[in-house]
Amino acid sequence: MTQPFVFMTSIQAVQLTGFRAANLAELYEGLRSVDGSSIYHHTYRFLRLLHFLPDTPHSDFAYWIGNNLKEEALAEQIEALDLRDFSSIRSLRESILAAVEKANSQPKRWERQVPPGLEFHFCRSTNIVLTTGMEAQNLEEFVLGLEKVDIGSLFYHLVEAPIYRDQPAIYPNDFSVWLDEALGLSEEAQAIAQLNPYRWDMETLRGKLIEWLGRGRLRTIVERVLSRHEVSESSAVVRALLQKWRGETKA
Amino acid sequence: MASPYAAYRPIIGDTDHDLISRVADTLRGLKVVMVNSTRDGGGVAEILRNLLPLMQELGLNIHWEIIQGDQNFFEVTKHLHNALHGRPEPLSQTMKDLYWQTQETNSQHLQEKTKENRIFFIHDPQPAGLIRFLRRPDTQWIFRCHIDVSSPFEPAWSFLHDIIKDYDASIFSHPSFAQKLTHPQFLVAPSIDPLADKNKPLPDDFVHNTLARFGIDPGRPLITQVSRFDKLKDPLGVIAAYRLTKRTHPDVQLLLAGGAASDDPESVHMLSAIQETSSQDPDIHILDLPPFSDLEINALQRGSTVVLQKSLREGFALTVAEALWKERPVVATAVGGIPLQVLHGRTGWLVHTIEGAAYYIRRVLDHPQESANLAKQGREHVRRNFLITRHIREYLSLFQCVLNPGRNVIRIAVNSSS
Repeated sequence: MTQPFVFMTSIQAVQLTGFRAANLAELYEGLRSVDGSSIYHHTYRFLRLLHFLPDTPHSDFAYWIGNNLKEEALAEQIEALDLRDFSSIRSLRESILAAVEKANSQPKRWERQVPPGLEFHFCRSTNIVLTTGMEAQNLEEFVLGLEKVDIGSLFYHLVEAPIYRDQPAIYPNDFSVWLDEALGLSEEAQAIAQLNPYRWDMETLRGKLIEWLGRGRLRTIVERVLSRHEVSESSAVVRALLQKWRGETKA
Repeated sequence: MASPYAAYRPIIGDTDHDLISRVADTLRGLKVVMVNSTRDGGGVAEILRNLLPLMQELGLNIHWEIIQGDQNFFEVTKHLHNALHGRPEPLSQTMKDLYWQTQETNSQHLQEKTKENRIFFIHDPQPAGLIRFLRRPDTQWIFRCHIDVSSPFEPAWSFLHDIIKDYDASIFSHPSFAQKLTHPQFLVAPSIDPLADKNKPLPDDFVHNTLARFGIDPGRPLITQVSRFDKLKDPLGVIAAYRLTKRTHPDVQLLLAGGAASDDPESVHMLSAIQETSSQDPDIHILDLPPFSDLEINALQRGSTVVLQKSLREGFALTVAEALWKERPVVATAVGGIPLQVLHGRTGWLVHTIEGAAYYIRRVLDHPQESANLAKQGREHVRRNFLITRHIREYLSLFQCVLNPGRNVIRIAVNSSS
């Protein structure tokens, strides 16, 4: 029996750490010493809360460095980090630290203070994870679930849960893992793995997922029909269409 | 009267509506008592009035108590309030004695509550000292600070710190309010109720007639600040910004609408100062509104061309969220929780000075299309992040954290039938 996909979601309780930074030196110290949940919070907060606004920045660190400290070049470097390259908060933290550390050789930059009131305040998130009440046994139920779950559920399975995985998986999100392992839909799993969750707002991403899987659902129906019936000459037309279809979905 | 929880479904959508119900279900029956110092006037009472019926409907066993105090006690707590906002006003020993006497007196009335409730949720310094008389080992105490304590007068903070250090958690409205405390400090922004009289949709003719009723010309641009008459809301700075605007936009009008809260004795003096400053200008309208003037405030905000919030210090400024929700262009100072709501150039304009306020008021008046776009994004920002339903969700998360301390990820089981 197929292992069902259980749609989970999460909500956050944001905590204040009391640690604040007024210059790059203090920011570096904070980045080095705060809990990983703080790095997570300041990297993914915008994506979760403000994804609907145009040109939303990706990182609190980059936003503060650019807007308050006026270190635009450094801000750009941190903003440009591709979050898909990081399988753990530890590696993300190291990359941000490495970028900030470059300014350490210039004491004037390193210690230049922001005006009072514009300090960076380190926060952290506690994630409260719960089921949405939706499960999928097959692709159709899965698409239905995708249509109905809250934005937090998409965020959880595409971004959050992979970060908290104990062991690495071959796919960077929960959806791909299940599609491949439970349904054997490796093409769809690969296609979803290629989607960049940081590029679009979550509703656009939902639309893209449903669109991809809608195509996949039709493909599985056609394949099921073909496998159960003797392939006649006329079905060569169907095969040609299927090939064309595969070509399009890979595009 | 509060709206039923189901009424929020069309506003926040099915998924978020159901999610909150599911989280609440994991806390069904949890006994909580909220305590503050007034049932009317000010943002705290307003939030509680709207929040509690919804949380009760969602299954929590939650109640609201207020502490009683005489005029002298509220003079002391206003003094403390100002000092926590940074004004150098020391508390005398007599004042401290009165504070503690009032806590002790109130604790006698609330003694029974300690047997019935698991969580004590205390709002602001006025009732904070109750913990000293009522704490029991099987209760959790949460201090909810609605004040901007980013730069407090040190002796005042020290006085408050000695009280709240015994709490299990604190809640602040902005990251800059964080303090050196050994217990967890949470960030929870306040919220508005989109279905309350103050924010619900109103017919255009009601808006028009309300303006006219108060002597405001609905056909001319109107700058409005809705706030208590309080120095920290800088009403005199508002008048100065209006006068700068008036030089280039002679048809503009100003409305300062506020009222006095029962725990705010200073507001009467401030109102006199405002009236004296503005008495020669027929285009400045000062409205001292009684409590429960929510429909009027709603109409006045909706009838405004630009809503100003020129606070010098601020806990959060719910009036900003109210204006954004009504798709009004907002110009506001970058203090307290305002920058969480007004994202400069995205949902409104943040300013730092009287001159800056006047500059962006003129910009709003001169660029109506840009202002309309920002206002539209402002409403969506509030819909997603500052409505009462988000507030409930965060309080539910907070209760989970307080009941499961020290964990970064909390997995909660939900009844499958819910």
